Amino acid sequence: MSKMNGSARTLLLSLVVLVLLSSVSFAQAQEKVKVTFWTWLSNEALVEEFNRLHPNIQVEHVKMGAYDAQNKFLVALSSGTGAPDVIQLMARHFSLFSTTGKLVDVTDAVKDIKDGYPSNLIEAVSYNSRMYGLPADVSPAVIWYRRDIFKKYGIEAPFATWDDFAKAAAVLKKNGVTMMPLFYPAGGWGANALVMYLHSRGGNIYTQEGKVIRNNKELEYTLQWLNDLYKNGFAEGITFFTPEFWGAFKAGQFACWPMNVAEGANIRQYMPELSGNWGVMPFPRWSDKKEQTTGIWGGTVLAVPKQSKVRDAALTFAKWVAGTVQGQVWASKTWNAVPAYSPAYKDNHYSLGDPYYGGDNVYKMINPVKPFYYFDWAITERIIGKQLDLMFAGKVTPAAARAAIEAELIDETNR
Amino acid sequence: MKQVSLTIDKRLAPYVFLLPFLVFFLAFRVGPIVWSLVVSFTKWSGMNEAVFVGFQNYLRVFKDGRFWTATYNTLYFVVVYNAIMITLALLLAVSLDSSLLKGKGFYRSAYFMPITMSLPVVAMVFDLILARGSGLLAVLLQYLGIGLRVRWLSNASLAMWAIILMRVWRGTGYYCAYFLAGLASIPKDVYEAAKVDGASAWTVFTRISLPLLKPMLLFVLIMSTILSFQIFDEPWILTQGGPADATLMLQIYLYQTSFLEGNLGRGCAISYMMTLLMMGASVLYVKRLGERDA
Repeated sequence: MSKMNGSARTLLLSLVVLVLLSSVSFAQAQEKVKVTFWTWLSNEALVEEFNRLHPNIQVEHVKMGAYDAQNKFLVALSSGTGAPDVIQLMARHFSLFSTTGKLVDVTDAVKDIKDGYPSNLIEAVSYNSRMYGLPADVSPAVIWYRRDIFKKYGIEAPFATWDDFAKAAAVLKKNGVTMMPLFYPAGGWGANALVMYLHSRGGNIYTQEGKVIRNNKELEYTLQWLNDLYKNGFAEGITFFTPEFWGAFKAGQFACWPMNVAEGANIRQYMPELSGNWGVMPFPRWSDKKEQTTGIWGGTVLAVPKQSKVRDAALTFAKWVAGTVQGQVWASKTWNAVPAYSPAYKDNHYSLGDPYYGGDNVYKMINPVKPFYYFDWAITERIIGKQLDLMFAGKVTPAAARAAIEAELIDETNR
Repeated sequence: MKQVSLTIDKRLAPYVFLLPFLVFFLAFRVGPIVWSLVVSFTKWSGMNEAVFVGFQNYLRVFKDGRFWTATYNTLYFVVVYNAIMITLALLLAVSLDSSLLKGKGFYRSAYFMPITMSLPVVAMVFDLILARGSGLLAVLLQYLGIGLRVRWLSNASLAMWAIILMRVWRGTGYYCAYFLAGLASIPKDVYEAAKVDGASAWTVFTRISLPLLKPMLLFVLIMSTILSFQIFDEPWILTQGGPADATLMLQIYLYQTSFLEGNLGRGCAISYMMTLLMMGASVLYVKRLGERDA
């Protein structure tokens, strides 16, 4: 074999280097940006759809408990490492994170979609007039009810007022059926259930400025109403979301469940055999109120931590989920999410009935919502939950529970 | 060329071999302990700028009624649980050690099994057992003609007992294994001598087995106390510390304060107060049980 001269060798070497470099840059172009997404909701189908539509971004769906996600996120922000690129957080606890300066300011990034959100949702994700998250969904309350049980005992749905609800509960009780389950021991969820009813009356725990409402008549009314339900045997305490809980529904022990829209997905998942036997109705009007409004259970927010090394891709995903009709519809299809982004409601999905709920369309059952203000919510949940337990145990009256809630909140939060 | 010597001074050798462990021990054990002590003197959410507040966290915790409720509940749980569990574990160990018992292997495995189950799973299973009306316990009672519809987890007194019994079920077999190991180490000729002297089974147990098991008993007591002070999963899953703080344990109080309410400074103060409590209990055990052997 003849030896190559120096210039030929140099040329060949240059060509090899060129081919190698171009293959590296080609591979980089083909390489997907990986986005880690922490959530406690079953968003798998939504993520799959996003990945299908965005070939250059690969979102990894990491599912964990709602509080697990929040705790791990707190530790990750605190230590400066280990946070996901996008996280779904509980809206009522979002102020714990939005005030830290450790989340990406998304104000400019969402300029083009900001008008699609109601002002109260923008307010909920803002701190010092800057947005640190995107409202992903709202969680309004409806009443899920068993059509077959109602029919059997001649109960008409929907109820015009909560008084009608109580009258129906009395009929059911005579026939050995309890109207609804109750969080007891209350814990945080029980507190939020009470707040859902309070909110449906237009009530609040705090003022818009974050002060504890003193001598809160709306709160006392709601406590009294819930206590009466329990004492009359119209509501029964149970540990929620356990096999016992779903079993009680299957056995026809409970006739209805006033809860958020998203819970409909769980009803369907845990009780497929009851298809057609469930229905949904709006929250009734309170007899002493003119308007028929509903309460909010919670809602979620998507946030991008400053730690994320792929902020643009993370924001693309968050904006697609929370700020496009397509993303919002996918969230609704996946877990009954109620869109935070108003333009989504134009989609046909929200005008369809659902055979599982006997043809009812849950999105048509949502009453208007009045503003509600969350401050120091973990402390608030704990204090309300304790007083609910004492009230159901007959150790304090609703009036005393209300006074104790206010006193403890003022003492612990200085609000 | 000059050769480089790689020999180590013999006096330094042990330290060189211990160095990897020491580095990890300092970084992952001592470091966080010291750091959390520093944090306990600050107001810090874990995400904002820490502000030095001196002993304010300790004073706030000391004045907080929930801290004392949690302390009382935890001590109540620790004392009652350990009394029941250790008594049962001892009796079980003596029974399993008996030469009259056939199929010891099966019993040992069966009693040891509960400890291998994860705590959340155990809590969920007991939730099903205790379910009002439809739970296994209610069904069994109905079968016996006792139509008792008890709200185990909504009743302040019963909820604590439900958690105690759950822990007893889970821990007895595990600590029984320790006592079995202790019994196996007692020389057999001691028992034979007692037999010759005509000692009854009760005398043998109280005069021979129990005194010779004392070091193991002390070990089990300290280990079990420390672990039971850390109870969290069962009350959190079943009752979230309710109803009305009836099952609020120190770990739940710590978790709520630190993570749910974002007050890591006060959380660290709580953890130091808990450490003092556990140290006090351990010292008490060692003094009461250890000094008698001296």
